[in-house]
Amino acid sequence: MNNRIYAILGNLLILTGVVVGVTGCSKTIDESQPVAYLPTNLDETAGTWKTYVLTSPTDVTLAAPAAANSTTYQAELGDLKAQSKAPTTDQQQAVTYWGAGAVYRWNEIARELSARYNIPPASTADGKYPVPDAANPLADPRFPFANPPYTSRALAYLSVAQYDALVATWYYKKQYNRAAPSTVDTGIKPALPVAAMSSYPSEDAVVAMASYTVLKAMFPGEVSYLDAKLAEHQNSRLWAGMNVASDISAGANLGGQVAAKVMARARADGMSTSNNQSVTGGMIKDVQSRGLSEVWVSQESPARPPMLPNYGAVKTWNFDQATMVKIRPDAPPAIGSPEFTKALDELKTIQRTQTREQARVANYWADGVGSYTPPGHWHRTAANAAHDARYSEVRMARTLALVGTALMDAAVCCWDTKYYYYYPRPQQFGLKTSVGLPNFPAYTSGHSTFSGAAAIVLSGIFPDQADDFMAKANEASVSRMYGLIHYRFDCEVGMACGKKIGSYATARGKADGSGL
Amino acid sequence: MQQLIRLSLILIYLFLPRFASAQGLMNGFMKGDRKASLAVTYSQETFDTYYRGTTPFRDPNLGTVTTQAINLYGVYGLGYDLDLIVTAPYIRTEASAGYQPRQEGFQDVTAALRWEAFDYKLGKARLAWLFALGYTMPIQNYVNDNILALGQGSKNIDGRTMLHFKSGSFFVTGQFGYIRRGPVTLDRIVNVYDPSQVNPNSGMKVNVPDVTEAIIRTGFATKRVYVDVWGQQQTPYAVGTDIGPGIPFPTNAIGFRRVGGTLFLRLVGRLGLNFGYSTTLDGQNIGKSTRLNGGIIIGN
Repeated sequence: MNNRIYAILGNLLILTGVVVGVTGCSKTIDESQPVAYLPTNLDETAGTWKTYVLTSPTDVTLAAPAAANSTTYQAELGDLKAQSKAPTTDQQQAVTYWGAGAVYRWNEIARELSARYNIPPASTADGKYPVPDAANPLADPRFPFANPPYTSRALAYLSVAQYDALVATWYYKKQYNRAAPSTVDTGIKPALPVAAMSSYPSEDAVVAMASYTVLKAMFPGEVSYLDAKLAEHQNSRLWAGMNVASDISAGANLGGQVAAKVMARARADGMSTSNNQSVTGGMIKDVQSRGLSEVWVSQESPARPPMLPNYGAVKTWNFDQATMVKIRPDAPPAIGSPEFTKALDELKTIQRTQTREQARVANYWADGVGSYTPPGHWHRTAANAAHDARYSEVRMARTLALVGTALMDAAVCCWDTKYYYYYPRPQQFGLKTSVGLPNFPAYTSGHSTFSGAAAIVLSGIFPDQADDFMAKANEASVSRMYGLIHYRFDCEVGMACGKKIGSYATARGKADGSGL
Repeated sequence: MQQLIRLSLILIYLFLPRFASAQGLMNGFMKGDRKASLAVTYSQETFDTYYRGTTPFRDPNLGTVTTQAINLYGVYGLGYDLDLIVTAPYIRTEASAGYQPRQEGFQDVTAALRWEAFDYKLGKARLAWLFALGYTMPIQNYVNDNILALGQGSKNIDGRTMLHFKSGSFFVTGQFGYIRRGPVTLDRIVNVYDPSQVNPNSGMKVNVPDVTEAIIRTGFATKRVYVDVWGQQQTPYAVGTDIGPGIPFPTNAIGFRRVGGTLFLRLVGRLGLNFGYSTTLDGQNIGKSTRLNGGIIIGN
């Protein structure tokens, strides 16, 4: 009997070993994390680069720093030495996290907020959809509903604020040229690579405050979360021995000034009327008068008002309203025409024969509810490419501003097109979809427009990766056919228009004085 | 004893789609040395309410979800105290409203060993203590990150122990199991999820929460008829998510309490018919489903 018990216990031990061996004893998922680097190019002349909202870096002011031999500065150095001497584990983690890049991390934070807020309001018992209220952002439904147009705009303003603020930073760095604390006092041991350039104002503090200011306005329910991020970012520069307190306060001051100007543009760009539902009646009448036999109708139950029907009137970045009307795509095929029938039949075939690989592509690019949307997806692609290329903060911000403004331009143009043509989705003709059904007209494909624009801009910045970006864009575009929510002509025309939109941002980049 | 062995066929319902029920890996009746049986069953499970977290929710854009399954279930006695159990379901799941397409295909294959470690005699009654270990893996790379999916897509190890008491035709079986679920790779990069797990730039791999399971089953088993009632509670063991926008479905913490019953009738020779019913009392990130099933069992 005892032997039997030992045998059982022995077997149980073996079973435990098998369980641990086959599935792994830890549930930790390891993934590589971005790390700090010295930029391949410091971009020392970036103070002369052309800004978006500022007319010149001197639109914002910054007082001269205390002299290196002043008692004020010496006291700051002493304080920095104390703060950076023995950081705690949490502080070291914060240093590593923020060391990956100021622009990089704030872009990531903005994307995560976009994803968390990309939640369409639920219907009420009486079949209505309440509209999120900016004055009461945490009530149900929360404000904002960070859908693709909203997210493209939030990220565009974030990137523009970061870029303009960093151009001003580089301008004042050159003017005041204060050496890095660890250069002045070799007793300070920096935890991150130190670039051979002025530490006043701290570019990290500039980016932190500029980003904080924009994101606080874009995500007003997240103030306490953003407060914590701002404080941690600023403090991480002390814990890392990278900046004295006055580098940081000067940076916060400068970043705040620039962001205030950028947000003044945002408040007047037409976003406040983008969800004006009263315009749809006229839009439908117009498109019917142009011959459309069947207009887009919400397929949700209960029917949901279309997403931001007046977003096409929001101010663009890289061209004006007249240009936008000029590049608006031609009309889609008439419903029931041979061209239309062929496109619909193609989707029916995909529905019947969809491969696992087609489903994977559709899912990979779905970027639907709860995601940071296609604009966020392309910001991620851009930020990672710039990080891999070891870009300076200002060049990283330039990259994201070029891509970000192109993406917002793409959103405005595409939404203008969608509501100009008011074209029905394939679901109005019986097709299913597992990628989420967007609640706005089909023509043209937003994914295709976004992807065409972003891929063109990125191909201009990273020519050696152009094929890869274009392949990604094409996959994103065709993913909407695999997902059965777009006809081929939605995708192809959207892609072509997106490329045109992107070329305006590329032209701006060529002329911004960076020589890049 | 012979009839008991014959009746070991009655467990059929495991590892079903994310909204389908699992009635427990196995019962307490051993097959017997060199004895075998094969069951083919059909089940239909429906719900119009599912739990987001533990809050019941009806989605007019989903309607009623119906899951049909054909399950192959084989048992072979490797020895008088050791059984090999293999099962593989083919599943179809669809929604009555909205625009989700039907999902259909083979789900997961499971192989398990059941070992009767002890067999006590208590007068005329018997008490058996059993252990079982199972391994489950997807038969194909089905889409798992959707409200309509064939399954969770994880590779699992299921370990459990059972106490099986039998006196005359009456029996009662209690069992407790732990299901360890391996991580899965999604089709997409997770944009928002548990910050301890995810790199929002590249993370496609997510954890699937482990669960524990307790089942109590009692009834009467004779040579020609078997009837039981049972209750099952599955509880998420590891931290998991609730169903929500952008949240990967495989990361959901899934739990439920279900009750059900089984009827088996022997027709002629080695041929029998099996019927079952179950319903969900409450749950967590799962459908509040009702299930009917029936099948043919051939074997010893």
